[in-house]
Amino acid sequence: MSKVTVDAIRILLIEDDEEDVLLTKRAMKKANIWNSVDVARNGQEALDYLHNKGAFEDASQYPKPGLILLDLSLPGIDGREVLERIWDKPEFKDIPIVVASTSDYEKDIEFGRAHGIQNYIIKPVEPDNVIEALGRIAQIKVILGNVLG
Amino acid sequence: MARKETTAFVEPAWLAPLRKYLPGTLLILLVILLSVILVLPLRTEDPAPWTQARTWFAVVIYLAFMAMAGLFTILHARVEKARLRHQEDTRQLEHLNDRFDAALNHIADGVMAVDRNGCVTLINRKACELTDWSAEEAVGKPLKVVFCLQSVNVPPTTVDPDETVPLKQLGFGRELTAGLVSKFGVEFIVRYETTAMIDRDGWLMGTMLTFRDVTELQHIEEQREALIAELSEANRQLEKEMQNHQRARRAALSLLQDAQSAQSALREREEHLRVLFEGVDDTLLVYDREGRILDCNTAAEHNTGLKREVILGKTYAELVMHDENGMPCLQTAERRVIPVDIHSSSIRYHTQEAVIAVLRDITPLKRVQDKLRESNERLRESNAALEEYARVASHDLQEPLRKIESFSNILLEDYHDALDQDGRHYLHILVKAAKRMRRLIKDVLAFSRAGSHEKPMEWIDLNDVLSAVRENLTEHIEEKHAVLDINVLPAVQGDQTQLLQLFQNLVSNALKFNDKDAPRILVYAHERSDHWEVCVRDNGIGMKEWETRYIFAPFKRLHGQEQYEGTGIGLAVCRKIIHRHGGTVTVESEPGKGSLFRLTFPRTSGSSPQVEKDKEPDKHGETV
Repeated sequence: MSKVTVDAIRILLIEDDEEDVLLTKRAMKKANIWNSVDVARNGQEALDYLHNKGAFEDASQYPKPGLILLDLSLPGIDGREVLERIWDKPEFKDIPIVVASTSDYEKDIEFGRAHGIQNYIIKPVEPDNVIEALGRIAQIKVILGNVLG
Repeated sequence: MARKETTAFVEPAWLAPLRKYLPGTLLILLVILLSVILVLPLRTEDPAPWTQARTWFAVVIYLAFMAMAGLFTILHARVEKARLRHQEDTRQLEHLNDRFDAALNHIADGVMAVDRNGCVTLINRKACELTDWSAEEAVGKPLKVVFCLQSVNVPPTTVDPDETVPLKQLGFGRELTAGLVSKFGVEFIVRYETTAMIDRDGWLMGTMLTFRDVTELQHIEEQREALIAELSEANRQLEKEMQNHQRARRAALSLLQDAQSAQSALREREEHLRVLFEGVDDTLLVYDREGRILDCNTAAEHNTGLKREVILGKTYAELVMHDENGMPCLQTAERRVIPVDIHSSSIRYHTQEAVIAVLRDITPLKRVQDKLRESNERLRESNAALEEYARVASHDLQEPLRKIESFSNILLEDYHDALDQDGRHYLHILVKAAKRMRRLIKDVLAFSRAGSHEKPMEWIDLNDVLSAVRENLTEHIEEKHAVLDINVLPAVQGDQTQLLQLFQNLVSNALKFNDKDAPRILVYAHERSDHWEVCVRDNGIGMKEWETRYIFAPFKRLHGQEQYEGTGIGLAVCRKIIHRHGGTVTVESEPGKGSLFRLTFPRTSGSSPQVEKDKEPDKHGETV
């Protein structure tokens, strides 16, 4: 399989757990998704990244991501709040959001659906579920098409 | 008729026989004397023939005279007797006549007799008086002169002498009334009657007219009639008035009754209201537009601790305040406040606009509410704690296990060659144990969540639920070459997710505990009088009778983990769910033949089941 990098579509992984970042990145690689992944360790960081504030001021270095992979339980501003703050903002309207959470609670899944998420992955993030979740998203399909093509 | 009074001569009694026999006796004596004169001169010595002849002659004559004298005497006696009788008769008649005259003159009616020529033959005193004619003048005068009537109703006093028709047949005998004019022109009214006098052969001899002055009577009669007319008129008026009066009376009576009944009803109602007013435990205050208290009940006195007179001197605002939360409360004499619930309505109180306020002491209610709020708070707290626990259990407890599992898998995949056989085996055991631990945690969570009232009950079509079960278990069914038959099932009140879990547990158990080449599972329903019975039947391994008693206990397993995988929570969850739905679950089983799970669902009456067919089946059911 040839390695394909599409820099235009950057994935923002919002995840506090280092091991989970590791597992997610590994699963994506296993699924042959080679997009560059930026990681935000908490909700505040994620919001700063999206609004190019604080450490993420440089818009050229931290452009608008093409996809957000969001953990719901985060220290401080948690994933739910992040979702609430960005889901209906016009500037983020075109960013597909996929939730990756340990919780299989109906309530949490409902919450995600109610805030326009594209998909919901119950952790652990593995090649199978990551390809299933991300493969359904158009932009990723393009990537995959390029990859597979 | 006037008669001359005659004094009758009365003969002495001794004269009668004398008169009767004296003439005869005298004659006989004369004859005897004559005979003596004739016979005495004769002598027996002188037997001259002629003398003899003369003697014989004398004897004959003597005898003849004797006979004549006797005869005369008899005849005379006879005549005398007849004369005496006649005399007696005459006397009798005269007596009768006198009596008749007396009677006639004494009767109160005028009486006149008229002969066949219409002339008056007899008139009595009363008639004379009435007509002003004297008897002497009247007798012989035509009746119409004496009895001068004004009216055309002239009585039939005259009759044709040649009239042969018996007068009995004429219209005599009727009493008539007419005006009469007396000789001197006095007018009066008489009632008269004419009677025909008929002889033995039926021929008219004359007419008898009787009449009487009825002027007075007539007058009285007229007066009477007028009076009667007046009276009857008055009577009619009276009756009319009586009727009117009665009608009015009736109307008045009914009005009165109505009024009385209305009044009594009103009074009764008033009394009831008063009793009610005084009897209720709630404080009742009646106040006018300015808020002045006009009336209150006993409870008001009791609740405020103030006397009625005191309350009546106060205003509503002085008695009813609001606490810091703006809730109304009643001020009492001890400056205590009673929280109240107020209902006010406008009323008319003794012709003025007023408001009646019902103040209910809600202290007990408040207490209960506070308690309820407290316990709700506690419940919410404990629910939150439970939620937190569930979240922690779900996330935090599983997290390390998941990591163990994930990184063990990475070791197995990425460092496969670096490990020897034993190392890989131990890693597998590690992964399996972690998986099982996660499963147990999940099942504990599932069990604690089953039967919780997460969602409100709604009408669920069990056919849809079983279709979802079939879909969720398709792989498993195909794998075991099983046949799942689902008959027509009812709709029940329930929780879609829990019902799915319930049936999915049962069907997957039926698949799992089955060693046949072609496992068969049948789901069907019976309609009972007050519930639905839904059965899940299989031809699996079955159980012993005693084993059936344990299978619904949590984490109870009948088989080893190597034989049949699972945590033993499935049927416990099933029982919890069915209990939450108001039903029961029982099992009948025989080793080697299969099991029959009987579920009951109450048949709730009320709204028709609106099965939401478009609802996406939930795929998060748990299997054992």
